[in-house]
Amino acid sequence: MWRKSFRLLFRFVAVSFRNMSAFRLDFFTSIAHSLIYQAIFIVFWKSILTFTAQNLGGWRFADLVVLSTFTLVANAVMLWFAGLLRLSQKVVKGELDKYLSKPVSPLFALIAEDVNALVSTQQLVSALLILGGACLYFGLRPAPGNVALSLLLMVLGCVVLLLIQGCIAMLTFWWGDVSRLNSLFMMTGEFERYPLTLFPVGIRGFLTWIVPIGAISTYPVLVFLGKAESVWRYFGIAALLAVAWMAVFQLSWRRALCHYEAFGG
Amino acid sequence: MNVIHVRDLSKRFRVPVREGRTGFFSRLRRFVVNPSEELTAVHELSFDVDAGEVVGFLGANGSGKSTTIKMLTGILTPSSGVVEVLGYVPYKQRIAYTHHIGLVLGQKTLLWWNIPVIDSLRLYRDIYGQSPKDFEQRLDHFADVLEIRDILHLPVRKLSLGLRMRAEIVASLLHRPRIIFLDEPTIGLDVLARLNLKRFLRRLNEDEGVTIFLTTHNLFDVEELCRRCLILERGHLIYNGDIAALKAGEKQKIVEIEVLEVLNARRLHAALERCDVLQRTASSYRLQVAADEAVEIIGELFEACRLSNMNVIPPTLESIVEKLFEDRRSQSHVA
Repeated sequence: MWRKSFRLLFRFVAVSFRNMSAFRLDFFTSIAHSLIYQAIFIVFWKSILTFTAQNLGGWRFADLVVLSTFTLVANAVMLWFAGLLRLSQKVVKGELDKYLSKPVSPLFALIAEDVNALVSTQQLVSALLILGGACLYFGLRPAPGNVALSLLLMVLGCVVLLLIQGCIAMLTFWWGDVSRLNSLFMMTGEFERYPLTLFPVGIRGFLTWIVPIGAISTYPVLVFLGKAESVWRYFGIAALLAVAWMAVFQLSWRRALCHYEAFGG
Repeated sequence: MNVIHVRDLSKRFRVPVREGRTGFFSRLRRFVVNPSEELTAVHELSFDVDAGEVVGFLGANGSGKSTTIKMLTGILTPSSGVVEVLGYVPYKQRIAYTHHIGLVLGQKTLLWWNIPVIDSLRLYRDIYGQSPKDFEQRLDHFADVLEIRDILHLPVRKLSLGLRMRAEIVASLLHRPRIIFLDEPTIGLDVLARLNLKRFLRRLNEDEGVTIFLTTHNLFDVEELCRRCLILERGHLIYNGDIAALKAGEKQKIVEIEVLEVLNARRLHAALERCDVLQRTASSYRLQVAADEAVEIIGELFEACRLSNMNVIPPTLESIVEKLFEDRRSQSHVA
């Protein structure tokens, strides 16, 4: 069973890679895009700190570089589930027919089909290089336990965000295309690039409990740097949200498939 | 033995209400609220299909053919009724069930658009858990029969419609399905490609005993491939039986004559009055006559004219179905 699933995943990833690299210029541009976007943010923080102070609400330049690399890692994780974000479009175009008429889980297939493995790997490698360089340059010495916990927390945060995005995308089965609604939700993702502790309490609460952006960047970075006040509180919140959204997702998915209308043809 | 068992199967969709008041506020309200109403796409269908049968599923655009096929293949969940295929309830036991069926949708590709055909086929091999040896053997066979060997390494987007359709059919057959559902597989194909496809499907049915459920707009395809047909009109099943019986029940024949010389204009006029003149030129007529009067009318035509040629054409399925629809329409107008 597991062997078959892994072989299938591998095959889907290969298909996805071929699909995405079908048009080479577009493919290489997408890689350049993510690198440039990241570089802009590091330059941005450097400029801010040069003209203001040596730190920003307790965040030094080194911490902000680490924050940037964590957002890169979070994006790399999310790229494995990019198919979930295209669910809305696929439902509207009736593209689930392909999966529903085959002995495969449609959810697995639509996620695996759009795994952006190469760009994800490229982002991970870039993040590791920047992080390693930052640790050497700024003399950061994170405890191994903190590194593991921060990555775990970040992955948990990614899971919660993906489940929320998936639940929003599933509304398509009832309401038609909801891509814009998902885009609206993803706009909150811009907050991941800034330390959450700089924002007012209300916004911080919203980005912790409702849309847990904090769980993919700020809180894991605090854990990584050994500055977290309560590591288990962060884990508790993320785990609670993950369980709740998983339940909502599973219930909705079963009902959603009954509402699929297979448009076209 | 029944492989498809359908009873009172219905599917209802919600569709936007388009008609209504035309005032500004009514339109604004409609735009904001987007009211919808229920549309019954398929209405209480009941039929069975035996193992090894080739069944044609006919109907005009929007009659519910594709919706029915999608319910039979587990893509759509019925609103009500019973559907069992090979002992499975498709929408409930989808993963176990779809191992045994093949599906071709003429207007939609089930292959991956940007990647070579062979990669899509290999992905399907892994999805169906087919052994590499069996896969290679089947692919080898179908690649020759359907002449797709040269296109296996081309991306689907670069194929013509005919070639893509052949690749889709191969993809739907590699895992040895017991039933294959074909939704308008001949759409857009040229005459030769259609002929080859029909020949291939006939052989598949004879050699492997695969049950074929075929929808098409081209009634000649059905006439050549199927013994039985189901005719659907606006979601209602209006005929379920042998094509031969349908044709035998038809009480009209088509008579085509080419006239060299009119010998008796009055007799010709009298004969023509007993027919429907479908087409007329200076020297030829295409007539529709009642089957029981055909011999008599033809005799009168022979006496009235010197003919250079005459054809008596039995009714085609196309003309019968057309008439069936017309009769239904006129009945509903009267009602």
